[in-house]
Amino acid sequence: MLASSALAPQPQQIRTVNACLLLLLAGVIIVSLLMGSASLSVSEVVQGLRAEQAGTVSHDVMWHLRLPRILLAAIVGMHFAIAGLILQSVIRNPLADPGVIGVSSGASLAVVAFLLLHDLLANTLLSSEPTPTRLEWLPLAALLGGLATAALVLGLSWGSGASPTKLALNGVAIGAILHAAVMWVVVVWGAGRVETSLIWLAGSLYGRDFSHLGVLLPWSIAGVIGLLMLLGPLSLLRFNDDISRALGLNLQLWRLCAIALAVVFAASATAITGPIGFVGLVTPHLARLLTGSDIRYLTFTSLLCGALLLLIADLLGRTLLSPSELPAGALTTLVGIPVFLLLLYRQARGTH
Amino acid sequence: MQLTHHDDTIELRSVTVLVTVCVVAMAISLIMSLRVGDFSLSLDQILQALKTPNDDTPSFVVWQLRLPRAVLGLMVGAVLGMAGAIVQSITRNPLGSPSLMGVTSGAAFAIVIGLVVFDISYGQRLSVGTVGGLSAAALTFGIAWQTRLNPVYLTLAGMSVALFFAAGISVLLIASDGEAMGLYVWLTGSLGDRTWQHVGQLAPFALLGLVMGVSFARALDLLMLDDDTATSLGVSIHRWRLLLGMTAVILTAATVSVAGPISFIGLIAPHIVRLGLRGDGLRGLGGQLPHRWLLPLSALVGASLIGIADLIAKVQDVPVGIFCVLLGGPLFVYLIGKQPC
Amino acid sequence: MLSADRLRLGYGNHVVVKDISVSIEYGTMNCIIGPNGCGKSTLLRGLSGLLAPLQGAITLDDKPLNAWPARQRAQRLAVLLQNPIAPDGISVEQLVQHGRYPHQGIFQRPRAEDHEAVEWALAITGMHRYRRRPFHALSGGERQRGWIALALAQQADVLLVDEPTTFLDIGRQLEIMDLLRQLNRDHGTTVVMVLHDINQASRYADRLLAMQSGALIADGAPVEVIHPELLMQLFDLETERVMRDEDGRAYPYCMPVRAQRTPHHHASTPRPVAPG
Repeated sequence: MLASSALAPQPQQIRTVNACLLLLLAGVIIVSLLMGSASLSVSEVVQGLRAEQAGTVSHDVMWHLRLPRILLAAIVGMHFAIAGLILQSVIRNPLADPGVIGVSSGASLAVVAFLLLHDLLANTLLSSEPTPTRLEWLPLAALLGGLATAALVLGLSWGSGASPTKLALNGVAIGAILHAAVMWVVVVWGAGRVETSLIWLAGSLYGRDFSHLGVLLPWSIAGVIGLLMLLGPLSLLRFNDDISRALGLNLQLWRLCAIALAVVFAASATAITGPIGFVGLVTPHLARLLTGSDIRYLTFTSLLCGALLLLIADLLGRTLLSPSELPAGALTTLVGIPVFLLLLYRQARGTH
Repeated sequence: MQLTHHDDTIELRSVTVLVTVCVVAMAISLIMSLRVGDFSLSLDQILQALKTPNDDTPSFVVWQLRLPRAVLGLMVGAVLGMAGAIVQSITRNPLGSPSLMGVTSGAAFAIVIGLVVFDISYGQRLSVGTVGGLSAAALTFGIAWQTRLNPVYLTLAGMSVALFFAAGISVLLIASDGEAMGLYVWLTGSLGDRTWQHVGQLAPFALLGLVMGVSFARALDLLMLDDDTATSLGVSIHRWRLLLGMTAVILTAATVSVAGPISFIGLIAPHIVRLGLRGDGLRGLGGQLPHRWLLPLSALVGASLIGIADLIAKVQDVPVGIFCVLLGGPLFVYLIGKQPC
Repeated sequence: MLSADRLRLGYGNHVVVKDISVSIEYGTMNCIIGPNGCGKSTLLRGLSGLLAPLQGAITLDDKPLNAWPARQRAQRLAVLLQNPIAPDGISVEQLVQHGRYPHQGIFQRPRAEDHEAVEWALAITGMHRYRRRPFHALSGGERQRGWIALALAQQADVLLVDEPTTFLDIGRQLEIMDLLRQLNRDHGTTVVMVLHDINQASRYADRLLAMQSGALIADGAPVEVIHPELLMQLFDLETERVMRDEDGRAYPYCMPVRAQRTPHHHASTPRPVAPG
C-alpha cells in the first residue's frame, strides 16, 4: 500500500493531478522536439514542423526523426504501463511486470528467431536480392512468443499457490534462460544482424519512424478497446477469488482475457522497440500513489505516467551523452530495479 | 568433540561412479578442445606436440592457443563449483550461488568501471572485482535479511541486483564511446584467446580454494546446523560466515577477472554432486553430505561442466557463458519449484 | 427460497458435507453451528454457489443455482466469506462500489440507483464517515463492516456470511451482530451465517442448524436446539443452560462448565509433560 495518506484523493484532486501530468507531458514533448544531436534553434524547429518546408534539413529532422520517435515513445510507454497495470491487478502481485514475468524475453526470442528465419528464407529460397523485412509480422511473432512464455511462467508458479515472489523468481529465471537463448541464436546464426539485434535487445527507440508507428497503432487501438471492455472485471479481479465470484464474475474467462490483453500490449510494443524493462512495474505504483485505486483513474493516470516515463528516458538517453545514445531500456532498468528492490523489501518486511 | 558424519550413507561406489564420469568428461573435453579449431589437428599431432614442444605450427597451436584455454576453463569451473557450494552452505540456501547473489555481475560492473573510468591494469582487476562483488552481496543480503534469508527472496533480490549491474554495464560501455566495446565478449563470459598468463593468475586462487575447502570443511558442516545449536557448540557462526563468504566472493571475482561473468555453474555443480551421491540429493540442503566430500566433488563437477560447455562454445564460436545459462537455467527453475514459499 | 436437496459437497475425493437437505425461508435469520471441521463453512460455500455440488442440488426459487447466470445469481445472493483481500490503496467508498457489479453492464456507467445503493450501504453500516479512508488503514471491526457494506450494496435478498465476528473484540462482535439483525428486521434480508459462538447464535438467530462430521444433526429454533446434551455431543463440553430474555424474546444461554474429551478424540489423558 503506497498511498498511506489519511484520505483517498477526491475526483477533484485527481483531475488536478491529471491536468498537471498532461501539462508535464506537453512540456516534455516540446523539450524533446527542441533537443537532439542535430542542434536546431527554436525557430528552425517551428519552421521544420510546417509542411511547406519539405526538403529542408529541419523538416527532415522533425518529420523523419524526432516527431515519429516522440510519438512512438509515448505510445510504447503507455503499452508497457497498461500491461503492467493489468498484470499487477490480475495476478494480485505488486512485483508483476511484462519483463518480470518473462513476456518481454519470450517476445524478443520470437522476434529474433523470426528475423533470422526471414533472412534465411529470403536468401536461400527466393532470391539473392535481400527483401526488406515485413515489419507488420513482427508484433504477431512477438505475441506468440510472449503468450507462450507467460503461459510457461504462470503454469510453473500457479501450483505453488501463486506466491508473488516465487512467480517473480520464475519469471526472472525463465527470462535469463531466454535471454541466453537469444544471444546464442544471434551470435551463431545472426551473421549480418548482430549489431542491430544487440541494440534492439537493449530496448531502444533509435531510428524508429512513422512506418513503425503505423505497425504499432492498430494494436494500440485494438488494445484500448479491449481495455475499455475489461475495466469493470479488472477492478473485481483485484479482490480474492471468492469475492469476485460471489459478485457474479466469470473468473476463468476474464482472468484469461486480461492476461492475454496484457501480453498483447507488451508483446506488440516489444516487437517495435525491444524490451523496455520496468516501465510496467513502476508506472502503476506511481499512478496509485497519485490517484488512489479507482481502476478508471488508475488506468488513465498510468497511461500518462507511462508515456511520460519513456519520453523522459528517451530524452535523457538521446541527450546525456550526445552524439552517442543510451538505449532507453537500459535507463528504465536502472531506475526500475531500485523500485523493484524497494517493493521486494516492503514485501519481505510484511511477510516476516 | 566428534560430530557424527553420515559417512556410512555415502556409498563408495557412487563416489567412484561420479568421479569416473567427471574424469572421462574432462578428458574428452580436453582432447576434443585440443583437436578442434580453425586448424584441425589429429590425435597423433597433438600427442607429438605435447611430448616434444618445438616451434612447429601444431606445437604452437596446442601449447600457446588451445591448452591454456582448456586448462583455464577447468580451473574456472572448479573454482566456481567450490564457491557455489560454500555460498549454498553458509546461507543454507539450495538456490545459492555467487551469480544469483549478484556477486558475479557486481564484480563485472566494478571491473568495467575500473577499465572505462580509471584505466586499471590487468592485475588490478581482481581487487576491483572483489570490491564490486562484496558490495553487490551486501546489497542483496540487506534486502533479504528480514526474511531470515528466505531462499526465494534472497535469490530474487540477488538476480535483480545482477540485472541492475548488467544494465549499468551496458550504459557504461555505450558511454565509453565504443572504446570498450571489445569487452562485450568478455561480458558474456568467454574463454576465447586466453594465455598462460591468465592461467597463472587464476592458479593461486584455485589452490587457495582447494586448501580452504579442505581446511574449513568442518566449520561448514557445523554451520549447516541451526544457529543456536552451532553457537552452543562453540562455533562463532558470524565470524565463520563472514570469512567463508568473503572467500567465495574472492574466488568468484578471480574467475570474473579472467573469464568474465559465468553464471549457474556454482549453482548446479553442488546439486549434481548431491544428485549423484544419493537419490534425493536435490531435495535436501545437502546438510547430511560432509563438506570434505561436497567441496572437492563440486569443484570436479564444475570443471567438467565448463569443459563440455566450452567445447560446444568453441565449435560454435559463442561465449561459453551463454551455454552455462542454457545448461543451468532449467535446473534452476526446477529447484525454484521445490522451494516452499 | 434457497434449498439444498441431498446435497453432497467436497474437494476432489474428500467429501465434507454428506447429503444435507435444508430449506432457507426468506426473511429469516439462520445460523449454522458445529465444531471445527464439521463442514459448516463448506455448506455455506455450497449454498452461495461458489462450490459446485458433488451430488444433489441447490435451488434458488426452484431453479438450480448453477443454472442461474452468475450476475443474476449475485443480484439475489450476497456472500461474505473469511479472509477477504482488498486491492492495495483502495478507499472504503471504492470498495463498496464494487458491490454494484452484478447490476451494471460492462460498459454501463453508474446510475442514480447505483449511487443510492452505495450510499445506503455506507450509511447503514456507519461507514459513511470513513468513505475516503484507505481501507487498509481501518481497524478490524471497521474493515468487517466495510465488507458487509460491499455485500449490502449488492442489494441481494439473501446474505450469506462466514464467521463475521472472528478476530474482533467482544464489543465489535456485538456491533456486527446487531447490524445483521437490523438488516433482517428492518429490510427483510434473509441471513445465513456461520458462527462459532453458540450463545451469539442462540441470541440472534431464528433457526439453528447444528452440524457434525458433515451431517445435519439438529435443526430448529434455539429453544429447541440448544441443550446440554447437544453441546456435549458437538463440543464435548459440559454446560449449564439458563433462559435469558431480550425484548420479550426468550432464548437459551449456556455457561461452559468443563471440557470432557472422550477417548476416541485424542489421547488426552492428563499426563505431566517433562519440560523441554
